[in-house]
Amino acid sequence: MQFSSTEVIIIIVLATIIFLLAPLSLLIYIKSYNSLKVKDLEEKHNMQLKFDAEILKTQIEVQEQTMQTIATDLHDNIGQLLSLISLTLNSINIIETEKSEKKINTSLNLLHKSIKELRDLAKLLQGEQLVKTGLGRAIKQELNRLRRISGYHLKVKNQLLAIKVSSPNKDLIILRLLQEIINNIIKHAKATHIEINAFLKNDMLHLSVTENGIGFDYEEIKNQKRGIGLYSLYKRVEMIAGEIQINSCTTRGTLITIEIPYP
Amino acid sequence: MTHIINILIEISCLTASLFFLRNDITKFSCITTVYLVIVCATEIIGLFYVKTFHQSNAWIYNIFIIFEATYISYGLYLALKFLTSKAIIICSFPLIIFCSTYILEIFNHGYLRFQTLAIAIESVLFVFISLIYFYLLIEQKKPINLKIHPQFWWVAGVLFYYFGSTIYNLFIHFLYKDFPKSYAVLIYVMLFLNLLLYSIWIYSFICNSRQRKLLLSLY
Repeated sequence: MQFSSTEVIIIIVLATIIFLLAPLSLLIYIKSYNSLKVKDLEEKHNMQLKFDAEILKTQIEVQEQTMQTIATDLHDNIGQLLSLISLTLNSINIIETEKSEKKINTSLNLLHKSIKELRDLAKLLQGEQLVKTGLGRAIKQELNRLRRISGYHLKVKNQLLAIKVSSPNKDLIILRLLQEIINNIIKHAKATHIEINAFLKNDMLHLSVTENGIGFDYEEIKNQKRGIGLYSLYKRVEMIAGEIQINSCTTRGTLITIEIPYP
Repeated sequence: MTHIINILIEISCLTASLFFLRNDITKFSCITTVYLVIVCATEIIGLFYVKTFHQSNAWIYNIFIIFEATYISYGLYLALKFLTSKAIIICSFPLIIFCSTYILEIFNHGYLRFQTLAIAIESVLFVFISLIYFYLLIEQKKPINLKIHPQFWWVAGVLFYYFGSTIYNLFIHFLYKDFPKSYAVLIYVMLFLNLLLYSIWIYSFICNSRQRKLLLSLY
């Protein structure tokens, strides 16, 4: 087969164009792939920003919760005790020695109780930093708050006190989740018995809260768009790649189980 | 005429390197400028030699391709260094193959015949390494800013030039003997490839300048 000069020229030009188009396509592909990488990185950055904002919000909420507990404690416990001491001391008649001695002893006892309450309050103030010393201790502190409110029969199995791993951001969110659940129980559940289990197994943190309150219809609350607290629970658990299950039955109480990859 | 245009393209690239890389004290930028001086000098001496002595200037280009192979291998090594720990092995491989072929050709055909085989093999290996570079670039998770990435464009120029010149390397002997009229088209193809290579390299020098300005603005 013989080629003319013109044919050879056409073949050479076409072959060169093809040989140049190949690297050109490669460069276009790299450029578009690189743009995708940039977009992906931006998305990750935005997600990180959202996460940081949520952590900040959670921190503020934990602080607010602490302040609220302190205020309640000061008003309901220490304030009452000090008022009682003041009344007792005012009612002392020095001439009646025997009665006075009794009243002074009562006042002293009340004063000791006040000091003890103040110490507990001081611990609570430290508790704001407690999440830094471990999730187990933070949960313990939170349950102490619940005990002080009293009126509940508490059954606690906190195995997180012994764990040696930690994840500061997750710890803060988990503590806030527990606070939110406890607040909901106090506000709405009308429960008498609360059971709390917290343990770590196969790099998964399990937290379950059971109570025997009035329960609720989750679907109804969702449809009426009243469950902002519940939505917040779901959102936060999802943010740390966890799972939450809420089983509630009217008149029978509620069981909330949370599983979070940990640390 | 094509030779003059070719020399002008190369001088333009040299001027661009002197202008854009003037404040860059990295070894590669200095070597690039020196290499472009060698390129221009080779072209001018080669043209002058043919016009004056009316003899083949192949021996001049045979010397030049040693610089070319070394420079391109070094440039590819620097580009790959940031992507793989095996860069030195990958880039010394074509240099060894090139040297072996070069010596073999000198023994077989002497110094006055143009080293087409050594160049053809070298081209294929450079294309192969450039493709490795782009593959590793795609593989890495971190995106790059193409507007300030001189190495990317430098390697792109190398890929275009050596992949495009495959046709030239494959057909040069065949056309030279059987289709002398068509041979001229290969000269134009090479001229176009040179234009492409040096244009992309000029853009890489601009990227280098942008990158340094950006770094300086950060301080």
